[in-house]
Amino acid sequence: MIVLPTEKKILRFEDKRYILFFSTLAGIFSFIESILPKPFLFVKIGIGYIPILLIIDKISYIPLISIILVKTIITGIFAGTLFSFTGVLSIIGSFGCIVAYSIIFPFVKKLSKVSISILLATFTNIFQLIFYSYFIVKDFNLLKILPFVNLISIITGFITSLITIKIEENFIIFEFDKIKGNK
Amino acid sequence: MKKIAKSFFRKGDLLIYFFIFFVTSLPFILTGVLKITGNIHESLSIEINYNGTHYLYSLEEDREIRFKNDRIIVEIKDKKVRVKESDCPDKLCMKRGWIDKPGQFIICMPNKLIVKVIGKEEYDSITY
Repeated sequence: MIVLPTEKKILRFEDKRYILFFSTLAGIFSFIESILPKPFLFVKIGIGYIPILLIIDKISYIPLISIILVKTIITGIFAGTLFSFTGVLSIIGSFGCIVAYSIIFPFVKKLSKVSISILLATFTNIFQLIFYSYFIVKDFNLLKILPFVNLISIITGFITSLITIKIEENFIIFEFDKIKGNK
Repeated sequence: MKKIAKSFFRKGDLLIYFFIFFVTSLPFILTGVLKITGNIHESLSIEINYNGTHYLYSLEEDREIRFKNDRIIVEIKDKKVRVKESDCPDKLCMKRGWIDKPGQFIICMPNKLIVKVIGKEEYDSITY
């Protein structure tokens, strides 16, 4: 059973143990996903973002960015791809995710987990696609597959959010205040 | 129950979905605009090399190009090209059939003929 902060209380940067816990959890999930075979470049469910989605509306801005960055680095170290092309692509994807989060941060509580997940997946894939077409293939014609990539983002984002909602319903109690030792 | 429903849909989501729809349709809009303004040049041409001499034709216009007193006929039709007739012994150039993709070519060795489609080449596959 995992215990998270109450919905009323926003997690601050001082709560380092939560940042560490969720970064590591996200890193491990991402690593598991990185060793699974992928049919195409942008087709992955994104289970690494489940811990981030779990906490996205209960955490302030900087801690969540930290979790995303630490998750990316942990995954890179675990998978041994930190400085490889895959690692760079992953960092670009995380940057896209941060940009998306920065846009929706002021009204994140007014959005459902499904739409947040889909938006993060879309931004991640768009940033990766732009990077891939500009720096690797050096041909912007590749951007023609954007609708296809977005369709994949919508499907995978929905699946990720579904898993997140199910985990939230069944395994997590939001009772941060009742933990012994907390203020 | 209400909480679960809120996990799936809230009013603010509409904005997100509208944005994703806009981004998804962006390539179609841009392509349409570029086509209207005439900034897209996707026309292909064919290069024929016969006996060391180069000829260049557009693939847009249907025509027949004749060499060697009409014994070799290269036909351009419906933005495709083929060797229609040839006096070579094996007729391999004729058996090659129609070609229309940039980078494809037909070679007739006995007649020293090369027909090649020229344009921006597409990728066979992309790996990472």
